[in-house]
Amino acid sequence: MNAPDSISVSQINLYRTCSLKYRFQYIDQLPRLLRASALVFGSAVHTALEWLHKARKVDGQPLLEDLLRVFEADWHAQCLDGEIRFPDDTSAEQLLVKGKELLSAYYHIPQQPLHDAEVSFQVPLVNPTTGEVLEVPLRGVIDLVEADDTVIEFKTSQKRWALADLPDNVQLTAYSYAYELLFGRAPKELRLVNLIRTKNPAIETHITGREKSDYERLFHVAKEVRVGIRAGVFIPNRGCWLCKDCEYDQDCREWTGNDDRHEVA
Amino acid sequence: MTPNQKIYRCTVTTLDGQPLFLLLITRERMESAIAPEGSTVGATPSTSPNGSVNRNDVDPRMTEPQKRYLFRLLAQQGIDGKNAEAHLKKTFQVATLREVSKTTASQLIEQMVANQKEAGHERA
Repeated sequence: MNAPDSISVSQINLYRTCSLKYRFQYIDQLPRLLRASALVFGSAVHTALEWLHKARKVDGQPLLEDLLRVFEADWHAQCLDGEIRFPDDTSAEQLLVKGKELLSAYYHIPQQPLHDAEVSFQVPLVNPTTGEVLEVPLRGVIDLVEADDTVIEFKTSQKRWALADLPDNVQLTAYSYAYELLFGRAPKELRLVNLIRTKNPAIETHITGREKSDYERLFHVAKEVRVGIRAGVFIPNRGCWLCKDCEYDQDCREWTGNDDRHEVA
Repeated sequence: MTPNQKIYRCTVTTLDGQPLFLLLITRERMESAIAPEGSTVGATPSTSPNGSVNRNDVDPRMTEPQKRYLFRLLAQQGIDGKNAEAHLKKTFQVATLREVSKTTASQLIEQMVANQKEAGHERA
């Protein structure tokens, strides 16, 4: 199987959660006939936050109404094409309101000086113990870097983040690792900001950190994911949290093994 | 699989849902190395001297990020939602935004960004 010439944090996460979905999305590139409303919502919130942070960096404090306008515009643009799947108890209008409530709440939180928003990276992934270098670079995008070396990742979800999941979060490990390579020093802290769209919208913040052993583990995880992809190992993980909103549900149900593994190198 | 290839899977089943066979369709996009002189901009494919349509010259459609960026730029000018959609259709002279080509979208984005910068300088 031709493995990609770089590996992203989201690819690693997806392969670990459902390798068959990885195959459908990145290798077969099956068209997505519908999208989950949660994804569209999260994407529109991220777009608005990116705009806010970049505007704050340049102009100081933009108007709240401008922030909400950017969110609504992005939401509308995404809703134009393709079908969006909404849960039974949620409508487009409700999500639009929730998004505005969450962004308004975030807007009023005092902000530290910013370094940059949406920091793209592509760095070599090195095992810190052995010096072994992964054959492809690691790439990703850090949501926000504050001037005091704090790395921030934004999430939108329907529930609070489980604290027990924080130390093993590969995304935060990868961002911490990349930050060290990009800036030549460890981040002061890793902050996960979760915008929760419950009945009463809330914003929770968790702070964590990473050390050398976490980077070594990241290296091994990425390496094994590469091995799995090259070997054509793609297994459905029915019942996982991705299934509820999966765009490839029908393809997954019809899957009868990876018999077309003729592409294996 | 190369980046220019896409594989589609079709499963043919009996009426009761039993799979009969799996069909794999590989679509390969061919790209000409050099853009032909006088090639058209937009979604319309160019025509060769013998009158046949050269599919290799078709400009790809406006991408999702381009569309989202255009909506954002318009929102910053106070043109929201449905109005933004109508504005873009009128500007591009299309019935649906799916007809807009990547190059045309790119040109409008460049123009709008330049206009915004100019307006910013005038305000300063």
